[in-house]
Amino acid sequence: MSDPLLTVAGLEVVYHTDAGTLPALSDVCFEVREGQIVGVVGESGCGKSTLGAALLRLLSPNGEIVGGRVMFAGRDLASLSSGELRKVRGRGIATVFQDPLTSLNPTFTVGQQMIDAERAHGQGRESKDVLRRRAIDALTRVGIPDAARRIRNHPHEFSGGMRQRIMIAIALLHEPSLLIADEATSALDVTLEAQILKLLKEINASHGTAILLISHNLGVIAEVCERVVVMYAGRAVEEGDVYAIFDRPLHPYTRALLAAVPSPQHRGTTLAAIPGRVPSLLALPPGCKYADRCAHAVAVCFAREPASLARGGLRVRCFLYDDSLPAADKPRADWAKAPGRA
Amino acid sequence: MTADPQSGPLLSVRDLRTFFSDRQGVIARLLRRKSGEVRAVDGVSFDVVRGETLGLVGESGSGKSTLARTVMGLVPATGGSASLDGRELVGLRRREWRPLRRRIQMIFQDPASSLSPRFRVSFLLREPYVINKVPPDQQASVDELLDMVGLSAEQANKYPHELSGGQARRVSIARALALHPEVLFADEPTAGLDVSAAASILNLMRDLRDRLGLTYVLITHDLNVVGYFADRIAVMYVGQLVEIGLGDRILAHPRHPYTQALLACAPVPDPHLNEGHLDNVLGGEIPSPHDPPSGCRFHPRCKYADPRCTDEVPRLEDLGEGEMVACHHWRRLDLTPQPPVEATAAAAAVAQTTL
Repeated sequence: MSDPLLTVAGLEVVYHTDAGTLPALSDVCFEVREGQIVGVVGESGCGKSTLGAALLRLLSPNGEIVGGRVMFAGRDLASLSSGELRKVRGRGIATVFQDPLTSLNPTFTVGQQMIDAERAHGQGRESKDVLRRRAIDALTRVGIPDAARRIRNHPHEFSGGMRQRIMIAIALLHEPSLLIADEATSALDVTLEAQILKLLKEINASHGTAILLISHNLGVIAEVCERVVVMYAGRAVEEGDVYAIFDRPLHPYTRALLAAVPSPQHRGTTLAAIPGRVPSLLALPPGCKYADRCAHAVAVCFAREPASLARGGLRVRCFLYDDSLPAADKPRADWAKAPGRA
Repeated sequence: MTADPQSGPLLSVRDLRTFFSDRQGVIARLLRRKSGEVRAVDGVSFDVVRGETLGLVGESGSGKSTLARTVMGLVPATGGSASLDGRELVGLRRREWRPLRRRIQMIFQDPASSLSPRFRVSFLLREPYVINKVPPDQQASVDELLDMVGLSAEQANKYPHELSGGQARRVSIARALALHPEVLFADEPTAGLDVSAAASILNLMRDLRDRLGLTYVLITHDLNVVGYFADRIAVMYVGQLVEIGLGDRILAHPRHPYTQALLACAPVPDPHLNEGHLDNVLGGEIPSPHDPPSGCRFHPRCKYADPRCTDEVPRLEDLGEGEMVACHHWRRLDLTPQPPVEATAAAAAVAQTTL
């Protein structure tokens, strides 16, 4: 086993708003090892993107990290000066966002933007030809045909799939050891999505780039990830190996998410939609944040928040698995005794 | 086709064409730039019988939404025919559309842009009655409509921006249902929704189908959704149908290589099924309908293509019982999902037989 490349421990993030201070992330813990692909999954508003932004300290101005640590390659990112952080961004950790059109500047050619990115991360002394050469190589690597000519095009001259490839090429310019892909394939057709996922897997295999893949799509997560973090209302409610999460999910939320995905096998049946909605960060319930949507919730679930427990190779936040509770107070579910697929 | 011999199909589309001309400005014309037309829908035929759900799938740019908008009369057809219960819809004037509008409705793709931000939900739900001059005794109340789509009565006073994505989608559905339509086009009804919200919209649509006997044309790029919901599936590529047939048959035994490729790309939430899944990813991108490839439009991306596919346009072959396919080689291909090695062997076999 390699050492963890990224360790997130007890991460707490809040947003300061007119309506009050919103706890966006609370006690989030997980690791990404070198060369690993880790997925972060959950419904909108569960804190997936806040997590991705917090890792690079790219939170919006009203966001603040108020607790916990983010250790990357042995250094605490919270303690870095902005100059040191700049070296980590791009060279250590790079990010690809969902919408390349808002990340690329429409008024400059792709080549110019790639050269700017190279210069911004400390390769300014090299000649423009060298930088241009490297940009063309990067575009070729991500499957852009005729890159030497295409580098003179503006972003609008590329299709959505190609633009996302350009974003990945820019992210890979400095061969980062960790790539954060925040819903990087969500706006694409299934065919292009599969192409980009294949590209990410190839980059992972050939360069050993670790990837943190943030997605709401369980299919995408199952396709490429080795480990999965399931987020709910700013908490990591379950975390572990992808096979364990999909075969023997422990948390009722993970089970409910998996059961709600439509498939041809479900035809003619009612889909198991989760009742209710993700709670607003303005009015989080005191106990388990999932309790009011959970079929197994009992008094204790509404009263206090469950701790993260190790169980069956996974980490799970649910009182179903808390053996310190007296049996009478504990929630019950048949599958919780002998975990297996529903 | 699958039409019930007594009543005939409820919706019948024949050789429907929608071309957009890209007329250019003076300068482009002076420079003699190439001008032409975009064949967004190019000769599409299908039938939908009462009570069934036809799933329409294909990548963005395949013409799915334009096809729906053409049938709905929102975009003028260039040629061909679309008829509802025997009434021709193509070429109707606005006034002639009015009685038919009540029978055929559409749920638009993006509720944020199809619900006016300036009106409350209560007005948005009454709007179809105002536009169609429906007498008050035939109007359902706002409460009834909200109840039908599972929204509480308090939602009536909200503005669209105060609704969640799933709630906005429900308001769109309620608006479409206000006129008691028989046919409902649903354009990407679950796009942009979370897993759970998407599941509850599909449950709602299913429940409405059973209760009101609705006939759906479901447009989506999500094969899991279409596999769950549609009785029959039609696959579009660059403005044309490449395959249509029973959902179960298409999913288990696709005939057209494009259908097979789409199915192979769909992500499945099961890590066990993903070994080698990405090895068969369809390469390239959908070509522009402005300048579609010669012969079979899929040939540049098709691993089974041979010179005939480049030269000769495949006919949409009617195999009876509503099954159709447009591929020169479908009889020789076995596209039942299989490991990549065998697929390569099949491709080699095709190359052998045709050379």
